[in-house]
Amino acid sequence: MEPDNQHPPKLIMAFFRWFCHKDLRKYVEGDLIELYRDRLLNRGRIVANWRFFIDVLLLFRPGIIDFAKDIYSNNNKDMLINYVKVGARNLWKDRFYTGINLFGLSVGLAFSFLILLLVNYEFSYENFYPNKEVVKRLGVHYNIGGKEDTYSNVPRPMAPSFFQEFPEVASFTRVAGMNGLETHKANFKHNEVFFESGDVFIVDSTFFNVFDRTLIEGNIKTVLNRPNTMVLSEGLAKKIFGDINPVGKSLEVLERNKKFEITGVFEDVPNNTHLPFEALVSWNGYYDEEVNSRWYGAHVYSYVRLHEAYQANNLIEKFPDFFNTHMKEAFDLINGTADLVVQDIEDIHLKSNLTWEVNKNGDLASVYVLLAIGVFLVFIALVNYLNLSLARNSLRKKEISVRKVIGASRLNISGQFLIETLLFTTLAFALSLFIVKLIYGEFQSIAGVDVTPFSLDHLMVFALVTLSLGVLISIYPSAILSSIRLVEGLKGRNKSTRESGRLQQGLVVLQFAISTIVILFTFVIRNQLVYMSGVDLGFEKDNVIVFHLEDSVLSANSELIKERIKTVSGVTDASFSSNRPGVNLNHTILSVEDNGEYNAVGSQFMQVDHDFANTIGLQVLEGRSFIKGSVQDADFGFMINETAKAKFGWDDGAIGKKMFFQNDDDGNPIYMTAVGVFKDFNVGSLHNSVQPVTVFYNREFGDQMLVRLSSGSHRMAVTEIEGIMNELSPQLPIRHDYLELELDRLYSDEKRLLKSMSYLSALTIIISVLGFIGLLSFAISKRQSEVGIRKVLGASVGSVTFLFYRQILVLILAAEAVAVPVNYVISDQWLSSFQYRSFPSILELGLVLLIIVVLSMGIMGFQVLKVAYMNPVDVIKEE
Amino acid sequence: MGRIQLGEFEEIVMLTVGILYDSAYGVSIKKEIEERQSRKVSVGALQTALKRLEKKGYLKSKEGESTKERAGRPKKYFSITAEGKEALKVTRDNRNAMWDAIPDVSFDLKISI
Repeated sequence: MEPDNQHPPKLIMAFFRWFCHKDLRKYVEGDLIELYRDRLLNRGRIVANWRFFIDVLLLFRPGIIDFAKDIYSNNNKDMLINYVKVGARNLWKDRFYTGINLFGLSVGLAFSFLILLLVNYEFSYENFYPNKEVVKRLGVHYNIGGKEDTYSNVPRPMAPSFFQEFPEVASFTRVAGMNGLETHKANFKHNEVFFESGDVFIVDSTFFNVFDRTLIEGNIKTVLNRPNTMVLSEGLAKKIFGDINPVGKSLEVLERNKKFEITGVFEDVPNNTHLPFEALVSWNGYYDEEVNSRWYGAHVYSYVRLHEAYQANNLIEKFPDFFNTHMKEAFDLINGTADLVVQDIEDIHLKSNLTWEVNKNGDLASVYVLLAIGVFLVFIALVNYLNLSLARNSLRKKEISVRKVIGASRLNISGQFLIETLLFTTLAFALSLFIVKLIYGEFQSIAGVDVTPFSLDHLMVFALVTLSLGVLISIYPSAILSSIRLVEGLKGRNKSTRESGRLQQGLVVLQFAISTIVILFTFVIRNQLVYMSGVDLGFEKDNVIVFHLEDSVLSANSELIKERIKTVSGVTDASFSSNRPGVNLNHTILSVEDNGEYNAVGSQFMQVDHDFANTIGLQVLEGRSFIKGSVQDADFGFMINETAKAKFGWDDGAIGKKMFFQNDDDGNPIYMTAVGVFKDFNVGSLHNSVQPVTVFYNREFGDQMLVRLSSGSHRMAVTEIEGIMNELSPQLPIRHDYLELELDRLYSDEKRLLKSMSYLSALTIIISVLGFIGLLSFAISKRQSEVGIRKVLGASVGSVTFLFYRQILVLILAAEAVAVPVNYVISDQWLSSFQYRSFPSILELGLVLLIIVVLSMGIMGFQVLKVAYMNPVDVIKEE
Repeated sequence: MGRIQLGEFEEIVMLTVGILYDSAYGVSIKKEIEERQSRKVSVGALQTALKRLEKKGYLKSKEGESTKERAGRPKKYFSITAEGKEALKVTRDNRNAMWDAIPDVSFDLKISI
């Protein structure tokens, strides 16, 4: 006996044996096995299997194929050929219906293929980490003075202390963004050339113990041990150093004005991760010891690798004790409590959405919506096919009866319909591949990812699914048809039309209802987006350009730059600040005065200059804005918004109220006095309500410059402003952006959803109207003689039109009646993620429904009118 | 005997069978061609060609021994028939005649200018 593992894959071999000419079989099989073992020995199993597969595939050619030479063969081949022939003839005979079906099914298949690939991609996040179940991200839920927030990051000492105190933690790493929390991008300089990288993080040397990545260069155990070292991704290393091995070279990080030695290169990180990284910098020596020991705040992403996945609960259980030992002291001062959050990393992309996520999260609701539509599209198209084949097949009872008389078994008849359906699905499959090819460019631009529809794996799955769908939809018609009684079939009696007719009607209603839901939902999304763009944000967003002063030279000279910018023609106002609407604000804890006591309250804060309110058009309701250059205001003054006023309990007037949040050198609190109250303004997206905001005066510098321009062309002014900044010879390139566009980007997910939904709603309605047309024209063709006789007896065009329309209208109205409540539930669900939401009025929705009904009836009208206006002689003479 | 028609690949297969003499079977022919011509030959293409040549009567075959590395499947040995030899010869003669008919100038064009 030879070892078993030397045999080529059984399935492929069986396929080969099945088609190969009997005389040739044993010799060629011998050749194949010999070659297979040869390759197995020299080039490994994968190559051998693959080549074997290719060989067999190439053997599948006319000279070699010969199914029927078996002695036991029952001449099945001719029968099969006959089935294919008859099937093809039938498809061709009813080319109108075939065309409708083929179009509907292939478009449906193509789109749902792409959509399902996209959904699959969204669910595939972190899949490439082999140990993803045991890697967890730590987060904290703080309740500080009544302000509750859940952060995706934790205090710096937390992860290392976990590692020391909890045996469940096998390894940990802290991950801190190069540029703080808002962006993690960094700028490098090598040989006087600038490079902007993707995300760059400062990480513990144990990073690769938590996140598996293969190192192409360097020793995985030691790469990040020393201070001032970094590792690059393969792609980034190639971009900066070309083909030279970068290990041992150094690279200047402009954010730190410091050179870092490169100690390793890791393989590129795939796109489907919540934590993409292009370069990692050693944590060792990067931060001050004092900073690293702060127990308050939430500053770094922290990941732990557990021994077993279930131990995440142990951490949560042990956390209260941990809190008491390490954090209680600091948190008692600010009247706060903390809970631990442990997240599975594979859930972060779609389900997390905490404050300060590494990157914008995906939207689970949109993914489910897409998934549903992907399934619906195929479903609608299949229903079309099923309906039309049910209708048409009732005409083929004679053919089936004759086949039965000659001796066909039920199995034969079912087989025949299976083959016909498969023939059709194969056609649809080929066509849908072509459609995928056509639309893929557009799809990619909307989806933003390459889902590789033409990779072998995906195509195989697609083909397999299509095939099984084909089998599925052939079951019902073939069961019905193969069960007809001989005599009835031959006599041409139609007993079962009504039953199958009811099924058809049900399917059509369902199909139309789905399309209506999709359309209505699209309308709801659109309505919400329109509504959001019109919501009064509390400030004026148009004509404001944000210049990013990332460069230290620029931000240090903010006041100087601002005064010069104000002289540029076209500039109405300018202001520098630490924050702006459109991005997350930092949080802090304030102790605010309340009847002589001081309570800790959480608030967002921003630092701005005295021109801020004017530049973005904020209204001061009470008190005053900051006074230019006032040291008093800068050191002891602050402003708040209305929400903060309410939260601080200062309803009786905020001006003159006091609060403190830090101490002077002697440890005494620095009291600050409220000087003004802003009208409420929305900083982030309208998913959230207005948060309390405290505004401080910074009279010297900010890291962004907001410039309000007069309307009209801004190009000249922007060029001039850039000129002013360039005079200070900044190290980093100057970036600018419109505030309005930045705010718009907060809704990029919703916009993408709307765009894809618009396409899809058009598709679903087209496909279902096609189905309707097919069914209708079939019904018409069956009732032509009836119409003829009616007309001879004096029926008017109107009454004939009404005859057919009545049927359709009932179905359509039934569909709408189902669609409206379902849409309401779905929309309500979707809208609940917005604090500011608007549901379209009944009138608007009714109008949309009316348009759907009128349009679909209009499209079908051609056929109805054709019948209504026909000359009865044409049909009656045929009888 | 009708007109002799031998495709380029068929000719190579026949010649290889000739070269291998009494050890010409599927795998050995494939390997020989791949080695000499440095091109990939698929089992499918080879078997089709062999079958066609046998049908034309240029090759004949006999069942050979079955070995362990073939999992007990027999080899099929091929050898050239008299007609096959004739066909090869005619093909070569035709080829030679055409070569001879090329005037020298057409190869030496560059030098003569």
